[in-house]
Amino acid sequence: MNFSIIWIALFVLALALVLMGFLMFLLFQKRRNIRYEIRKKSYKDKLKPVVQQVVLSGEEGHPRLIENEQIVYEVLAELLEELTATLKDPFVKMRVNSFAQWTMKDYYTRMLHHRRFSLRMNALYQIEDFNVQSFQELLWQRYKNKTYKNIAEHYQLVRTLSALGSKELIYDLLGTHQPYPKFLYKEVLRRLPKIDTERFIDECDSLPLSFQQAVVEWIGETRDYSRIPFLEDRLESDSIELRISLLKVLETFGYVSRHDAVLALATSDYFQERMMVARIAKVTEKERYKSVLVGLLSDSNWFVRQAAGGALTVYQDGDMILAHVYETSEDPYARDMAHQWLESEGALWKS
Amino acid sequence: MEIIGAVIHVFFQLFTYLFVAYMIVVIGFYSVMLVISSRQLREQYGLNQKEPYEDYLDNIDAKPVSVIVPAYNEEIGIYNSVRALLSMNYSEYEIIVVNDGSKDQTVDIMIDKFDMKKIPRVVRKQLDTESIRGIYQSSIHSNVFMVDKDNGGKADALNAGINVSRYPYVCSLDGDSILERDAFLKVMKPIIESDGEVIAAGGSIRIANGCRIERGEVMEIGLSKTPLVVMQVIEYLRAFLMGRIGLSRHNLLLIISGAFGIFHKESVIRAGGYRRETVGEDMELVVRLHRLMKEEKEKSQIVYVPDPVCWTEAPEDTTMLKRQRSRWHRGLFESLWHHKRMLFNPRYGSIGMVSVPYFVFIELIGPVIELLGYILVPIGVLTGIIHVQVAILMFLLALLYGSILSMGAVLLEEWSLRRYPKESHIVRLFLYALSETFWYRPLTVFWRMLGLVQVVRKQQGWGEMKRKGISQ
Repeated sequence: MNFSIIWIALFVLALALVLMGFLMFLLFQKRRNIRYEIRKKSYKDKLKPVVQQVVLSGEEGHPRLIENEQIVYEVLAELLEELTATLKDPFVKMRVNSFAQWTMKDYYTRMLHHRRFSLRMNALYQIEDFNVQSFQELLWQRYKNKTYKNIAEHYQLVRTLSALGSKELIYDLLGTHQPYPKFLYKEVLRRLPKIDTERFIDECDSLPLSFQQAVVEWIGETRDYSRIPFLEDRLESDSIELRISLLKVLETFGYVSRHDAVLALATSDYFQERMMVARIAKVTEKERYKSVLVGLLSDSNWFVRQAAGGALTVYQDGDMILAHVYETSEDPYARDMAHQWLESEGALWKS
Repeated sequence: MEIIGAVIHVFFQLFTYLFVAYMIVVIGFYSVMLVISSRQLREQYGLNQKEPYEDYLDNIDAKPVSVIVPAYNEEIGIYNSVRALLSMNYSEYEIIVVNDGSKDQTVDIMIDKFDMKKIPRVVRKQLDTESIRGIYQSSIHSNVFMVDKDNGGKADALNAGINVSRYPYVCSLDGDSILERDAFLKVMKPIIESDGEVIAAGGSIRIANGCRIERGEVMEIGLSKTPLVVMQVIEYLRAFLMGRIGLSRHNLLLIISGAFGIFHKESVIRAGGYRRETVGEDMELVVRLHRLMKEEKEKSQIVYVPDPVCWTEAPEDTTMLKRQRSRWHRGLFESLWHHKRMLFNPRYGSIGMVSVPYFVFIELIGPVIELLGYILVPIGVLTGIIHVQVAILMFLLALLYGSILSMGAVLLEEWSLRRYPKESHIVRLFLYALSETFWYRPLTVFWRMLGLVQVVRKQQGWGEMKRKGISQ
């Protein structure tokens, strides 16, 4: 027993000493970091006017400024980020990009090969922000050969490649591939030039379902009203998720040309679709919806009844219809909802 | 007499073996979690803090959130908490302060400072709560609401907030807490990217005492001069950075702190909302969500995100801290007792086989074993039943479990997140962590035991908590 206790005591002591040593190391590192930040600030003060001059006036930069030092690259990256965040002029953006291309290429190459995940990610973010086209091939090879550590790096490669307008990525996404989540497809569409997004719209039906949903929702985001027929044509899709996305986009547009296709969903098995029909009625205010809305006031789902009541209030004679339902309906739920909407004058639901 | 002596001897021997084996298992478990957390946190070190969230700043995929702030006698902190919430970097959210029958000026302060007017509102009562006296809306900030209701406890207030809320995600936030500006973006990211698979997410809670906070915003991170508060800082680092990262990685998380967590509203309603008959409503809800998802064979996750930080006020005196700790332990017992059938039940997968046993045998029973150690070891040594060498071994294990692991947590913070700006902060935290085994741990063990005594006595309720306020 004595023997083992000595060993355990030595182990605890050694552990405490290791931690103590680690503390010393971290304190040393902290002091060094504090000094590094001070140095960085002085570099920043020195470089700021030069970078501003180059970017704002389009003057040539001074190659001597670019010392092959980590700190200078970090300062330049920060300055360029600050400039793009504050100045929205497309010419300034173009000059920032070409300045980054000229000065930062070696730095980004080093960072992309760094073993630390966070530094590789930071390089990917900046290549995307400054549109450093010369990295397209390298990043495509990484994507193709699956040279990434985890899903975050994988998805960021997709984002950066789409920001660089990679044709290879577009072909890959148009072909058969393991589907990505909807949010990533939307981020791709937001980054690609318009001409490239057209291809995804043209070939929408052959894309994975999450991509189709992303295309539909992205059309909603861009408020591209010319695509309303494209959206309406897909209302008969077999996918409930896609139909709900379509209905949501049509609601945000506030316009529908094929009302029959929407009205057909008022008897859907899914309450979300019935609710969306009521919400579309609210924004389009078409007379033909009124009878459907009265029917939906008796729906088995509270959200549908609530949306139907809300929709009826926007019609000229909506209050009269609600009062009529309240007084004559045999359905207590419909009466209750009609009553609530009649009572809630000025309530937030209406806003 | 001899027989009694022999029985006592055997009892002491058995306890010695049990204590040593228990400590080895617990230290092993925490060491594994420390390694997992270290790897994950270090991987993120130096990562740009803005870029990963930029896409969600003004994006319809960032689902709107209803922030529910239950307030009971929060007149000191409520204004600054709400004001801090108003400057959050998030596209769409509403703030619902639920006054749970406060006896102080909480309602008047809200009405006065935010120019609140009573509004009529159709409320769907999906969860049962005490009566609502009125709903108010700010005429300055249209997304600030107040629900004035009869007192029913924190869980009841949260349920009332859920009933009134309009958005698909609800965030529970304590009235005396302050969120960092990007907290919603950071905590919502895994929810958005999982396409709904993540049904709840929680962030880190840190102690605000000692920090410079102005107008509801943390201006400078500092460390309190009060030893009791410094020890709580270490305790929080240990619990959040070491414990929760490891558990979250394998979807084993049973707690999302009531001070700051975001939940998918529909899932909470399906689970029945916050349970009103417990003081551990935050943990109980998470356990129930896990249980519901397992029973309905749904693939869902509950995650912890280490970076978004919620700053909260810690008790500065032993009376308040004792009250808090005994209440927490009572809440832990109530949650685990209510879901006791999950223990070692393979039907609940890793939750039933790993997570619940961890909380029962390490978190719940731990203080019992430790307290027995504090009492029996000196008696055993004095009476000669326990050898001095064995007592030293037990002490060394306690030192490993208490001080060494806490020192590790402090260093992990500095190695990965580096929130504390001064070298002196780290040195103080490290030295206080070293002292943990000698004074703070025995105190908390005793207070946690009191929680179990309260369970036996069927004591209920929260007890009054005095607040100083953290913002200037």
